[in-house]
Amino acid sequence: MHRFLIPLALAVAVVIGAAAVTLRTGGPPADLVWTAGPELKTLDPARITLLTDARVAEALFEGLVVQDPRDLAVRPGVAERWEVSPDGLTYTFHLREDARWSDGRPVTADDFAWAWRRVLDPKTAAEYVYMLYPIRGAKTYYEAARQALGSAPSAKADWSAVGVRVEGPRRLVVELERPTAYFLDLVAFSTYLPVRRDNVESSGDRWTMTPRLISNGAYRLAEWRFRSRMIWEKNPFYWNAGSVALGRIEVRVFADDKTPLLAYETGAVDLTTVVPALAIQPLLEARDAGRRTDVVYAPNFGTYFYRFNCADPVLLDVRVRRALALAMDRRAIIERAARGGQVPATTFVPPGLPGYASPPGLEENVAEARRLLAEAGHPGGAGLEDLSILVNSGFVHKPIAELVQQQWSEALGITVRIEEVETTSFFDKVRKGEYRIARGGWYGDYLDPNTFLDCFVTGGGNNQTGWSSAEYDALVNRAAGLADPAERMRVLARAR
Amino acid sequence: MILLREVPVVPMYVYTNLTLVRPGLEGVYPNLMNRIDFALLRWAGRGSEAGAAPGPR
Repeated sequence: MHRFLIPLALAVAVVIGAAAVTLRTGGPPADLVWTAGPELKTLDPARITLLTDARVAEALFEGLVVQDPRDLAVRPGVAERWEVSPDGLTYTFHLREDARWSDGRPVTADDFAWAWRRVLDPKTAAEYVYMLYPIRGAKTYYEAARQALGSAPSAKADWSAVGVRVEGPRRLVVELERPTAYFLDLVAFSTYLPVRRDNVESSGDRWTMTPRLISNGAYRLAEWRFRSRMIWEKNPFYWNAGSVALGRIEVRVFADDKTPLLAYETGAVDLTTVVPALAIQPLLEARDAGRRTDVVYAPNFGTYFYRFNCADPVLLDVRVRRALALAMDRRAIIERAARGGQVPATTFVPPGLPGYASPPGLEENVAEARRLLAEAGHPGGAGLEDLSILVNSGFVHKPIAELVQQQWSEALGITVRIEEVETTSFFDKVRKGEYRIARGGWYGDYLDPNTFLDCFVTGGGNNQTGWSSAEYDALVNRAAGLADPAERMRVLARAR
Repeated sequence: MILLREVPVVPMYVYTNLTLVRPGLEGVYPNLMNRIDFALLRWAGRGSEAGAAPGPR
């Protein structure tokens, strides 16, 4: 065990007892033990919203295409190849002949079409249904079906108008509303995974539980003890089984975020994707000093931010918003409050996207912040006494807000109040615009700037700031319909 | 540059992900989307029932 972790490990061990991490399990030993997250909620691809659930689903199921973790490029999955029409509107997927479900039955185009139709059925309650909206008629179909269930029982949802066409067991044709440069990235997403109709219909809501679950990926589900552990076994019918090295994988679920680290350090698990925030900086320092070679660390496609209520009489003035942004010391926020080895962000779209160059962003500039406030009629922070930051309880939202409070006080002479509420109430208040400044976080759903920039179109469900710009809307809308990647990036660069 | 000019939001930090991987376990790659393909994982120097042959991906 590494020396710096001993105090943490001991503290945790006292609380939970060492037995918790040396849990004995039945069956043959696993080739790999992985600690996932605190909970696995669902394996139903249509209903998955959590990263951990998506990771599990993508081990058990395989989509038409997959995203390679080495370079995030889209590679063949069940589809051995595909063609895109010159106008970018039609994708023709050719399914491989040897793709099989875990019971040996062939994977067919019908399996995908039925799974996608199920996502678009409001009764499925697929939170990520919008991921299918680029498909022609998909949104119309979903909305008609929803109306038929509620306010307009006579509404008809016409599946034949949706751009999903099965042309034989191994040929699936998808037509889009308009060219969507990142459509294949969407197809690699868990919402697009296939499911077996007979499996779902015969087992109801419990179809994902062992031994019922039939899957088509590299692994099949051998055991699932809810909130405890999961066992995967190599799927002998998987078309690429010859390249799968590990025969049996155990997934451990721990309720807290400290036990996985202890389990890893004591050798009970081989891979942990759950590491407490306070342990991250010491682990990175140990890696940088050459004391650890087992740390895999990367920035994510996600941004922590503060949103301004642009309908607020004071925050309506862009000079005030800009002054507050320029008076933030992001590095101090990371080192003294967030403390998880994060990277300062000066733009909403995170850097690192292939083919996308980040612009210079909002760097700290206190002198300019003071000048802007004075110009806006608030010299020395006058008239800004009632500002408040809304945060939800948990994580480190409040310590971050306290540091921002201190920074704005020292730099601009203003005192802001912090309002901490429980999570449900927080999201409700943000949605209703009942805040002045509120914390936010956004992870991109697919590898394209649009997944961030689309948040702030006028009236968008994730905007929640009241901000509106016809010019911005027009640029995001125009970029969405462009097939040429370079031209898209040029247009999005004007919006970002 | 409209979003940066108008500042409806202040970006503060990029989330990061840290994974601990037992030495010898190959196939976990740092990436923006937190992707892990379990079909690619293997123990260095250890064979497998499948012979660990590289696949067509």
